[in-house]
Amino acid sequence: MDDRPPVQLPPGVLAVRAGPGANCSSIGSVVDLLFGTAVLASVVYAAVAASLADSTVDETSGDPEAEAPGKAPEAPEKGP
Amino acid sequence: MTRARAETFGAWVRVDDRTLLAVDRATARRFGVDGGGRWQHPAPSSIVDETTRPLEVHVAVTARCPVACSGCYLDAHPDGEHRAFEEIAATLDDIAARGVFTVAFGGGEPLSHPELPRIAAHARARGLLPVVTTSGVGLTAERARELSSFAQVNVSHDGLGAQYRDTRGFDGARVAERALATLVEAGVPVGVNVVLTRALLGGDGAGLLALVDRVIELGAREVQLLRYKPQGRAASLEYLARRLTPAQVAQLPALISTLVSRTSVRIDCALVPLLSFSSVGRTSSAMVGRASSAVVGRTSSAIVADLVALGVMGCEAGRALGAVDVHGRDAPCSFLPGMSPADVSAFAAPEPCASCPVRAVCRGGCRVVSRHLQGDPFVPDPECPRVQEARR
Repeated sequence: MDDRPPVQLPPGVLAVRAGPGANCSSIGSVVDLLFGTAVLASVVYAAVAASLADSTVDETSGDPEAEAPGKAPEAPEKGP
Repeated sequence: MTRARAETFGAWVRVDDRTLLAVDRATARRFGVDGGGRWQHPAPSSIVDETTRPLEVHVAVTARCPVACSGCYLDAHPDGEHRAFEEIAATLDDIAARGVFTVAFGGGEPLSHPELPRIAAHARARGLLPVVTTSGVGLTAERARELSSFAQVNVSHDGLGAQYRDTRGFDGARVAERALATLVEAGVPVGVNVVLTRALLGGDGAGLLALVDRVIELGAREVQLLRYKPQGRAASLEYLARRLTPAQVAQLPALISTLVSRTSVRIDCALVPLLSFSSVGRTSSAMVGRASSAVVGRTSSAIVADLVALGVMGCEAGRALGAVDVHGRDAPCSFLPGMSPADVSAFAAPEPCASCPVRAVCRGGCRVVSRHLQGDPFVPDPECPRVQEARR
């Protein structure tokens, strides 16, 4: 029986897709984090901390009608 | 810049080029996200069921390819047409407005498109993360330096020497390896796409292991394993001779365990049914073979929880994944041209999938395989070991 601990994520993080995932078919996932063990939590902690310190968030509604086509989404400048 | 999209559970947030997170509402607020109407009801427990808009879209920029691989899923040709930059830019504007995070360019051979660097720059300007897959044909040092806007370039490599030729029908191994080295020299993040075929996994996977060692040596930072899919020129009788054998399927977890001790490994969503049943569906030695102790023996709920935590959501066609073909038409994934994303998205796999413990991260397997082998995309994946056992 495998007794490895489950994948651990920081509080508030429900899932992580690591890596940009360039491929010609479908989205994958980094399975070494599943088959190996991991350092996932610390990696994600670092990424979250860095991004919360970032001064800008490009918040997209995902609603094409709310975001005029032909130009970049109007991202509000928001702090963490 | 961080990019965020509100969801009923909270939000998807891309915090850097390599990290996309699903976060709860409280954390989403810390990122400055306001869920508005999406947050008016209690948060759902599952991110899988709630992610029904594309996180990633695959965009074909050309139907041209200087080589004519025997298994090309697009049926690309040397005289295929490029899609005009203006049309591609309009597509990128549209998918950016739809809240997509990543755009993966393909073809045809995308490097043959003269405006590929400009296309990538346009994607970046719209907040999209651009990535691309290439055979490496036509890549020069100068061209490699022009690809710096891409978050990653993946080079397709399906076997060393003759194995590549046997899989693709042209001798491209050296081209792929030269491209890898050139991209690394240019400082472009590079990965490798490997299509899993019967020939490559022969001899207990020795060909795959040798290939992975070679691309690591050349500087690839990850390997993406892809299921061989019967679409385009691969949708022929030849498919039956090239797909993995049941014994090879049973050995996949062990093989992947070996690979992850050497490099970072990704899988495509079509491979999930081939892995998950070996992991949790049964434990008989005959089926599992020498499957890894890293997965065999864990409870199904623990494995599913881990897979969800890693963002695995099963067949993502028409849901977390979208595609735009070289004519600008939407599709649920690159391998399902002409099909309605909504129809594929709505598919709920019947038994034996309905009671499968990993159905949430599999969703009935690959629709492309079902369509080819069963004549109906909306039936359980006939190559899944659990489905095969149910039919016996």
